[in-house]
Amino acid sequence: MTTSANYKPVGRLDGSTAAAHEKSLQELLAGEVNSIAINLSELDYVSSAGLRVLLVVAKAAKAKGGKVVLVSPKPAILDVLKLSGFDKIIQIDV
Amino acid sequence: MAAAARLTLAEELVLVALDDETGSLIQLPPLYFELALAAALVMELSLNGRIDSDPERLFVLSSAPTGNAILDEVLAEICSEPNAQSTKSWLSRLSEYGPALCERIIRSLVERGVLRLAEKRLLWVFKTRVYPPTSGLEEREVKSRVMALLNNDEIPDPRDALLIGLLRGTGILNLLLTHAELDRVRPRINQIVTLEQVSRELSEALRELGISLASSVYPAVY
Repeated sequence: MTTSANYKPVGRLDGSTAAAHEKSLQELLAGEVNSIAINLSELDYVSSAGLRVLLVVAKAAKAKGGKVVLVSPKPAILDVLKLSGFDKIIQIDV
Repeated sequence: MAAAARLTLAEELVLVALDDETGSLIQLPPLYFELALAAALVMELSLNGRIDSDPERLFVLSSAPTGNAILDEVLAEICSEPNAQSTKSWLSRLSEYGPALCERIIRSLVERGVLRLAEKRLLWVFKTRVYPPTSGLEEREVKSRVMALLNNDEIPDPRDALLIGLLRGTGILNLLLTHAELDRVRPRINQIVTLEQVSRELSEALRELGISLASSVYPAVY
């Protein structure tokens, strides 16, 4: 059974914010939630550390039988996600 | 300290790059191993939250020591650079320390009991140092992780994804797999390597190096 939650990072997802975002996302998955829709519409920048957070959380959700969906990324963020091949392993709803 | 509890990416790279039978580093094209070693150190600092990167630049998040002497020296050098540089520039710059770093990493693996020091005679005359594995346990664990990851469709752990990038870049992965296996898992390898920017930068640096080496051998073609 899928139990979903929503999450919306704003601004930057990089080394200075990655740990806090990962903690929040993992806390969501600690309960009954096994799927998270991460709304990227207000995310302006993502670094390697930020991408790793998405990867780690997607892996954790999959391990619980759920998934992570990345929703409405801005074009520049979508470019980075595609460049990194994230569109091949994480669902992205543009 | 996390780095003391588990092998670093650089240590894992060296371990897999040592031929079990001879105890010596396998032969790779010039500078391939040095560039990969530099990438392994950059990756480790990134996993430790000391540096971060994007396609344009590599930047410092924290100058706090990791407790690993080699990583801390590399971090200090990155911190001392006033202008942010690209990841590829750092790989090139740090690769200059490759041989010395490799020696130190091997020594640390000997100190930790992962490798042992042995002496071998070359041409019955010259003594040379070789480093066979003590039990081979750690190397088998690394190879087993790699094979498991290549043979499933799980989302990789970032550390494992980075290790695959190092092994693919240097060509060591080709030695761990048969031709048939390599053909079968090639799409998966490419998928994993693409995930990490440092792995992509390493692949690009090695591709450029390969062209440069080939042009020095066949100048008329290039």
